[in-house]
Amino acid sequence: MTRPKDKEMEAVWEALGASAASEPPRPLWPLIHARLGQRPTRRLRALFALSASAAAVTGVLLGILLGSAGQSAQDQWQQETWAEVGSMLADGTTLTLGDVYLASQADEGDEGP
Amino acid sequence: MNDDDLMVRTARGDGEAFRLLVERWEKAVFAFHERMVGSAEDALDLSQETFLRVYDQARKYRPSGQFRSWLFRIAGNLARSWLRRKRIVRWLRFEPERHDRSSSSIPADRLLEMDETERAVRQALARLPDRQRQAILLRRYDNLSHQEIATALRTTVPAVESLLQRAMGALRKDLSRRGL
Repeated sequence: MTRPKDKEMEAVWEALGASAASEPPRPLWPLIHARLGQRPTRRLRALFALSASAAAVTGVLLGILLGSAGQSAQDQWQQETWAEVGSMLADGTTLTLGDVYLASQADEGDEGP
Repeated sequence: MNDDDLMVRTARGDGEAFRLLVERWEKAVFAFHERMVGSAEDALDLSQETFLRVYDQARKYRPSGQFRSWLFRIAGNLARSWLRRKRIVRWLRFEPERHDRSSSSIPADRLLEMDETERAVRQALARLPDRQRQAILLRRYDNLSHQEIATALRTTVPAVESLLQRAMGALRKDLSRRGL
Protein backbone atom coordinates (compact mmCIF):
# COMPACT_ATOMS: atom_id res chain seq x y z
CA MET A 1 0.00 0.00 0.00
CA THR A 2 1.91 3.03 -1.16
CA ARG A 3 -1.29 5.07 -1.03
CA PRO A 4 -4.76 3.60 -0.57
CA LYS A 5 -6.57 3.32 -3.86
CA ASP A 6 -10.23 3.28 -3.04
CA LYS A 7 -11.91 6.56 -2.20
CA GLU A 8 -12.95 5.65 1.32
CA MET A 9 -9.45 4.50 2.17
CA GLU A 10 -8.06 7.66 0.63
CA ALA A 11 -10.36 9.66 2.91
CA VAL A 12 -9.14 7.73 5.97
CA TRP A 13 -5.54 8.25 4.87
CA GLU A 14 -6.15 11.98 4.56
CA ALA A 15 -8.03 12.12 7.89
CA LEU A 16 -4.99 10.62 9.61
CA GLY A 17 -3.12 13.74 8.55
CA ALA A 18 -5.31 15.69 10.99
CA SER A 19 -3.33 14.20 13.85
CA ALA A 20 -0.58 16.72 14.38
CA ALA A 21 2.83 15.53 15.56
CA SER A 22 3.59 16.44 19.15
CA GLU A 23 6.99 17.80 20.02
CA PRO A 24 8.94 16.74 23.11
CA PRO A 25 8.04 19.06 26.02
CA ARG A 26 11.78 19.53 26.58
CA PRO A 27 14.93 18.62 24.65
CA LEU A 28 15.93 15.01 25.18
CA TRP A 29 19.68 15.32 25.07
CA PRO A 30 20.19 16.92 28.55
CA LEU A 31 17.96 14.24 30.09
CA ILE A 32 19.77 11.42 28.32
CA HIS A 33 23.18 12.88 29.06
CA ALA A 34 22.30 13.12 32.76
CA ARG A 35 21.10 9.53 32.83
CA LEU A 36 24.24 8.28 31.13
CA GLY A 37 26.27 10.05 33.81
CA GLN A 38 24.31 8.39 36.62
CA ARG A 39 24.65 4.86 35.34
CA PRO A 40 26.39 2.13 37.31
CA THR A 41 29.65 0.70 36.02
CA ARG A 42 29.59 -1.78 33.18
CA ARG A 43 30.27 -4.67 35.57
CA LEU A 44 27.30 -3.76 37.76
CA ARG A 45 25.11 -3.36 34.68
CA ALA A 46 26.13 -6.84 33.55
CA LEU A 47 25.14 -8.18 36.97
CA PHE A 48 21.73 -6.48 36.77
CA ALA A 49 21.24 -7.79 33.25
CA LEU A 50 22.10 -11.29 34.43
CA SER A 51 19.57 -11.18 37.26
CA ALA A 52 16.93 -9.72 34.94
CA SER A 53 17.56 -12.50 32.42
CA ALA A 54 17.31 -15.11 35.17
CA ALA A 55 13.96 -13.67 36.26
CA ALA A 56 12.72 -13.57 32.66
CA VAL A 57 13.74 -17.21 32.18
CA THR A 58 11.90 -18.06 35.40
CA GLY A 59 8.81 -16.38 33.98
CA VAL A 60 8.99 -18.44 30.82
CA LEU A 61 9.58 -21.64 32.79
CA LEU A 62 6.58 -20.86 34.96
CA GLY A 63 4.51 -20.54 31.81
CA ILE A 64 5.76 -23.88 30.52
CA LEU A 65 5.13 -25.54 33.86
CA LEU A 66 1.59 -24.23 33.98
CA GLY A 67 0.93 -25.61 30.55
CA SER A 68 0.83 -22.39 28.63
CA ALA A 69 3.66 -23.30 26.30
CA GLY A 70 2.62 -24.67 22.96
CA GLN A 71 2.73 -24.44 19.24
CA SER A 72 -0.13 -22.11 18.43
CA ALA A 73 0.25 -18.40 17.88
CA GLN A 74 -1.93 -17.74 20.92
CA ASP A 75 0.36 -19.81 23.09
CA GLN A 76 3.40 -18.06 21.72
CA TRP A 77 1.86 -14.73 22.62
CA GLN A 78 1.07 -16.02 26.09
CA GLN A 79 4.72 -16.98 26.51
CA GLU A 80 5.65 -13.38 25.73
CA THR A 81 3.31 -12.30 28.52
CA TRP A 82 5.04 -14.66 30.92
CA ALA A 83 8.40 -13.31 29.89
CA GLU A 84 7.05 -9.83 30.56
CA VAL A 85 5.90 -10.93 34.01
CA GLY A 86 9.40 -12.27 34.61
CA SER A 87 10.88 -8.97 33.62
CA MET A 88 8.44 -7.12 35.93
CA LEU A 89 9.66 -9.32 38.77
CA ALA A 90 13.20 -8.41 37.83
CA ASP A 91 12.28 -4.72 38.04
CA GLY A 92 11.17 -5.21 41.63
CA THR A 93 7.39 -5.21 41.04
CA THR A 94 5.89 -7.39 43.77
CA LEU A 95 3.62 -10.04 42.30
CA THR A 96 2.21 -13.18 43.87
CA LEU A 97 1.85 -16.35 41.83
CA GLY A 98 -1.94 -15.87 41.99
CA ASP A 99 -1.62 -12.35 40.59
CA VAL A 100 0.55 -13.61 37.77
CA TYR A 101 -1.93 -16.34 36.90
CA LEU A 102 -4.82 -13.86 36.89
CA ALA A 103 -2.87 -11.47 34.69
CA SER A 104 -2.15 -14.15 32.15
CA GLN A 105 -5.77 -15.22 32.02
CA ALA A 106 -6.88 -11.61 31.72
CA ASP A 107 -4.78 -10.99 28.67
CA GLU A 108 -6.11 -13.97 26.79
CA GLY A 109 -8.01 -12.95 23.72
CA ASP A 110 -6.09 -9.73 23.43
CA GLU A 111 -4.03 -8.97 20.42
CA GLY A 112 -2.15 -12.06 19.38
CA PRO A 113 0.70 -12.23 16.94
CA MET B 1 27.35 12.78 8.27
CA ASN B 2 24.78 9.98 7.90
CA ASP B 3 23.22 7.88 10.65
CA ASP B 4 25.50 4.90 10.05
CA ASP B 5 28.60 7.09 10.42
CA LEU B 6 27.24 8.53 13.64
CA MET B 7 26.50 5.04 14.95
CA VAL B 8 30.04 3.86 14.18
CA ARG B 9 31.40 6.85 16.08
CA THR B 10 28.94 6.32 18.93
CA ALA B 11 30.10 2.70 19.22
CA ARG B 12 33.65 4.04 19.68
CA GLY B 13 32.44 6.15 22.59
CA ASP B 14 32.06 9.47 20.74
CA GLY B 15 29.50 11.35 22.86
CA GLU B 16 29.22 14.18 20.35
CA ALA B 17 28.15 11.75 17.60
CA PHE B 18 25.52 10.29 19.91
CA ARG B 19 24.24 13.78 20.77
CA LEU B 20 23.84 14.55 17.05
CA LEU B 21 21.96 11.30 16.57
CA VAL B 22 19.58 12.08 19.46
CA GLU B 23 18.94 15.59 18.20
CA ARG B 24 18.34 14.33 14.68
CA TRP B 25 15.76 11.75 15.70
CA GLU B 26 14.22 12.97 18.96
CA LYS B 27 11.14 14.57 17.38
CA ALA B 28 10.25 11.53 15.27
CA VAL B 29 10.82 9.11 18.14
CA PHE B 30 8.85 11.23 20.59
CA ALA B 31 5.93 11.69 18.16
CA PHE B 32 5.88 7.94 17.51
CA HIS B 33 5.75 7.13 21.22
CA GLU B 34 3.17 9.80 21.92
CA ARG B 35 0.86 8.32 19.28
CA MET B 36 1.56 4.79 20.49
CA VAL B 37 0.89 5.36 24.21
CA GLY B 38 -1.18 8.55 24.23
CA SER B 39 0.61 10.45 26.98
CA ALA B 40 3.40 13.00 26.50
CA GLU B 41 5.06 12.24 29.85
CA ASP B 42 5.19 8.51 29.15
CA ALA B 43 6.37 9.23 25.61
CA LEU B 44 9.21 11.33 27.03
CA ASP B 45 10.31 8.45 29.28
CA LEU B 46 10.04 5.94 26.46
CA SER B 47 12.00 8.20 24.10
CA GLN B 48 14.84 8.50 26.60
CA GLU B 49 14.81 4.75 27.07
CA THR B 50 14.88 4.24 23.29
CA PHE B 51 18.04 6.33 22.90
CA LEU B 52 19.71 4.71 25.91
CA ARG B 53 19.12 1.34 24.22
CA VAL B 54 20.57 2.74 20.99
CA TYR B 55 23.66 3.79 22.94
CA ASP B 56 23.97 0.43 24.69
CA GLN B 57 23.56 -1.53 21.47
CA ALA B 58 25.67 0.71 19.25
CA ARG B 59 28.46 -1.88 19.15
CA LYS B 60 26.05 -4.51 17.86
CA TYR B 61 24.70 -2.27 15.11
CA ARG B 62 25.84 -3.25 11.62
CA PRO B 63 25.97 -0.19 9.33
CA SER B 64 23.75 -1.15 6.42
CA GLY B 65 21.69 1.97 5.82
CA GLN B 66 18.85 0.60 7.93
CA PHE B 67 19.25 2.75 10.99
CA ARG B 68 15.69 4.06 10.78
CA SER B 69 14.15 0.57 10.85
CA TRP B 70 16.49 -0.44 13.65
CA LEU B 71 15.63 2.66 15.69
CA PHE B 72 11.89 2.17 15.27
CA ARG B 73 12.22 -1.51 16.09
CA ILE B 74 13.68 -0.54 19.47
CA ALA B 75 11.05 2.18 19.94
CA GLY B 76 8.20 -0.16 18.96
CA ASN B 77 9.37 -2.98 21.21
CA LEU B 78 9.61 -0.60 24.15
CA ALA B 79 6.18 0.91 23.49
CA ARG B 80 4.48 -2.49 23.11
CA SER B 81 6.19 -3.82 26.21
CA TRP B 82 5.09 -0.72 28.14
CA LEU B 83 1.49 -1.16 26.95
CA ARG B 84 1.52 -4.85 27.89
CA ARG B 85 2.82 -4.05 31.37
CA LYS B 86 0.13 -1.43 31.79
CA ARG B 87 -2.53 -4.01 30.92
CA ILE B 88 -1.12 -6.47 33.45
CA VAL B 89 -0.97 -3.83 36.19
CA ARG B 90 -4.57 -2.79 35.45
CA TRP B 91 -5.67 -6.34 35.96
CA LEU B 92 -3.71 -6.73 39.14
CA ARG B 93 -5.49 -3.65 40.43
CA PHE B 94 -8.84 -5.23 39.50
CA GLU B 95 -9.78 -2.67 36.88
CA PRO B 96 -11.17 -5.11 34.33
CA GLU B 97 -13.62 -2.55 32.98
CA ARG B 98 -10.65 -0.56 31.76
CA HIS B 99 -9.12 -3.59 30.10
CA ASP B 100 -9.87 -2.65 26.52
CA ARG B 101 -7.89 -4.01 23.59
CA SER B 102 -5.46 -1.17 23.75
CA SER B 103 -3.87 0.37 26.80
CA SER B 104 -3.10 3.51 24.88
CA SER B 105 -5.13 6.34 26.33
CA ILE B 106 -5.09 10.05 25.66
CA PRO B 107 -5.24 12.35 28.68
CA ALA B 108 -8.47 14.37 28.90
CA ASP B 109 -6.68 17.74 28.86
CA ARG B 110 -4.82 16.76 25.68
CA LEU B 111 -8.11 15.74 24.02
CA LEU B 112 -9.61 19.15 24.82
CA GLU B 113 -6.83 20.85 22.87
CA MET B 114 -7.71 18.98 19.66
CA ASP B 115 -10.37 19.75 17.07
CA GLU B 116 -13.09 17.20 16.41
CA THR B 117 -11.38 15.43 13.52
CA GLU B 118 -8.04 15.16 15.25
CA ARG B 119 -9.72 13.87 18.41
CA ALA B 120 -11.60 11.21 16.44
CA VAL B 121 -8.44 10.16 14.59
CA ARG B 122 -6.42 9.97 17.79
CA GLN B 123 -9.08 7.91 19.54
CA ALA B 124 -9.48 5.59 16.56
CA LEU B 125 -5.71 5.05 16.45
CA ALA B 126 -5.66 4.37 20.19
CA ARG B 127 -8.28 1.64 19.75
CA LEU B 128 -6.19 -0.32 17.22
CA PRO B 129 -4.27 -3.38 18.42
CA ASP B 130 -0.68 -2.42 19.23
CA ARG B 131 1.01 -3.95 16.18
CA GLN B 132 -1.55 -2.54 13.77
CA ARG B 133 -1.13 0.90 15.34
CA GLN B 134 2.65 0.61 15.12
CA ALA B 135 2.50 -0.34 11.45
CA ILE B 136 0.13 2.46 10.49
CA LEU B 137 2.11 5.09 12.42
CA LEU B 138 5.36 4.08 10.74
CA ARG B 139 3.75 4.15 7.31
CA ARG B 140 1.64 7.28 7.60
CA TYR B 141 3.70 9.56 9.80
CA ASP B 142 7.26 8.33 9.44
CA ASN B 143 6.91 7.34 5.80
CA LEU B 144 8.68 3.99 6.19
CA SER B 145 8.47 1.59 3.25
CA HIS B 146 6.77 -1.77 3.69
CA GLN B 147 10.20 -3.38 3.75
CA GLU B 148 11.41 -1.00 6.47
CA ILE B 149 8.27 -1.64 8.52
CA ALA B 150 8.78 -5.40 8.09
CA THR B 151 12.34 -4.99 9.40
CA ALA B 152 11.14 -2.86 12.31
CA LEU B 153 8.44 -5.39 13.22
CA ARG B 154 10.64 -8.41 12.47
CA THR B 155 8.10 -9.77 10.04
CA THR B 156 7.51 -10.15 6.32
CA VAL B 157 6.30 -7.63 3.77
CA PRO B 158 3.02 -9.56 3.13
CA ALA B 159 2.40 -9.59 6.90
CA VAL B 160 2.91 -5.83 7.00
CA GLU B 161 0.51 -5.38 4.09
CA SER B 162 -2.05 -7.43 5.96
CA LEU B 163 -1.53 -5.43 9.16
CA LEU B 164 -1.96 -2.17 7.26
CA GLN B 165 -5.09 -3.38 5.49
CA ARG B 166 -6.68 -4.48 8.75
CA ALA B 167 -5.70 -1.23 10.44
CA MET B 168 -7.13 0.86 7.61
CA GLY B 169 -10.35 -1.18 7.63
CA ALA B 170 -10.77 -0.71 11.37
CA LEU B 171 -10.04 3.02 11.11
CA ARG B 172 -12.52 3.41 8.27
CA LYS B 173 -15.28 1.74 10.33
CA ASP B 174 -14.45 3.72 13.43
CA LEU B 175 -14.28 7.08 11.68
CA SER B 176 -17.41 6.50 9.60
CA ARG B 177 -19.34 5.70 12.79
CA ARG B 178 -18.41 9.21 13.88
CA GLY B 179 -19.56 10.69 10.60
CA LEU B 180 -16.07 11.40 9.25
